[in-house]
Order: sequence, then C-alpha cells, then structure tokens
Amino acid sequence: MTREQELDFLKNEAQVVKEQLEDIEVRIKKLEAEE
Amino acid sequence: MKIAVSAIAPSLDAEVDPRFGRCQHFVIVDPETMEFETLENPNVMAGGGAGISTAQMVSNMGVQVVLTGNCGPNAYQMLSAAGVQVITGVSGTVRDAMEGYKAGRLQATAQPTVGPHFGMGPGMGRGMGMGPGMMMPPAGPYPQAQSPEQEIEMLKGQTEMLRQQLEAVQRRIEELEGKK
Repeated sequence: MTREQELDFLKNEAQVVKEQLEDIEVRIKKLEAEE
Repeated sequence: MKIAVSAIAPSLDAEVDPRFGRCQHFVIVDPETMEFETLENPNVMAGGGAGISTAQMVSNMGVQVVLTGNCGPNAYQMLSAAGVQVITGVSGTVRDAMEGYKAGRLQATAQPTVGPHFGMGPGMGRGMGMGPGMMMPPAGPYPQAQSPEQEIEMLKGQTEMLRQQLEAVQRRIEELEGKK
C-alpha cells in the first residue's frame, strides 16, 4: 500500500469511527432519557 | 521469552494498536533485553477470520504473551488453546506497555473483550478494491446487555475504545502527512 492509499484508508476509518461515536452518543442519550 | 505487542508502526515507540486481529504490526519483544523484532500483519485487510489467522501466526512465532487493546472471541480462544497469555486494555507506546508488563501492572484477560469481526469496517472507499476496512466494532453491544444501565455502561466502554482508536488513527495520519 502506498502512503497515499494508507492516508485515504485512515481518513476513511477516522470518519467511520467518528460516525460510530456519534451513533453511540445518541443511543446513550436515548437510554438515559428512558431511565 | 517473547511478548507480542500489537502496534500501529514497527517500533518500540509506536502506539499500541487497539485491534489484535487487524493490527498493523506486531513488535515482538524480549522483556529482559528489550531486543525486538517486528512483523507486519498480513491480516490487516482480511475480510473474515483475521483474528484466528493472526492468533495462529503469533503462536507459531513462539510468543508466550500478547499485549493488545482488544481481542475477539475467536482469537482469544485460539491463543488460549496455544497457551498464549492475553492481556488487553493496553494503550500508550509499545515501550510503555512493556514497562507496565514488567512492573506487573497489567493483568491477564479472562475473556474476549470485543465481539467477533471487531476492527472490520464498511470498506475502503470507491474503486480501491482492497476489501473491507478496519475499525468497525460489533453492530450491537457485546456481550448482550441485560438492562439499560448495563447497556449504557457497555456503550461508554465502547466509546472510550473508539476514542482511543480515533486518536491512534489521527496520530498515524499526522505522521504520514508530516512525511509528505
């Protein structure tokens, strides 16, 4: 894998992880509101 | 004695990679001399079975202990069967991890810490043809939450893990961009 490919790959991963964190945050807020 | 530490780069000063099966590298260290060798993980892009393949590879190298961030059930089972001690929740640099191990601050893990397929992502982007990506945690909490309180606790744990992953990825991006 070239450096550029790795960079693209990692940027994509960073975006995926950020979206997952947002989803989890939403779920936590929802669960906390239900309590 | 050989200790394998999952790492994002082949160096003692590299950050510990929070994934086991799809980590980028292993740094295999002799804790007495701190001499080390490195191994690029060929399973970093694997679509499935990465945990087992990586566990086989590591156990074939005569490693007695694995230090990593998280370990799924398949890899954990394989490593345990091969008599390899698994220590999870490890972060910082490889050197920090080794110092923590030698000081007895790290405890062996009694069970897998993530579900199967942890570290797999939705893909590499259009047209790269490189198979699934990394970093996607299991679709739901693992193990199954019994109550909302437990689910919240699990999600908070998952959040912490993902933040660590994100930091590791961002550090690697900065490193690569710095080399341009």
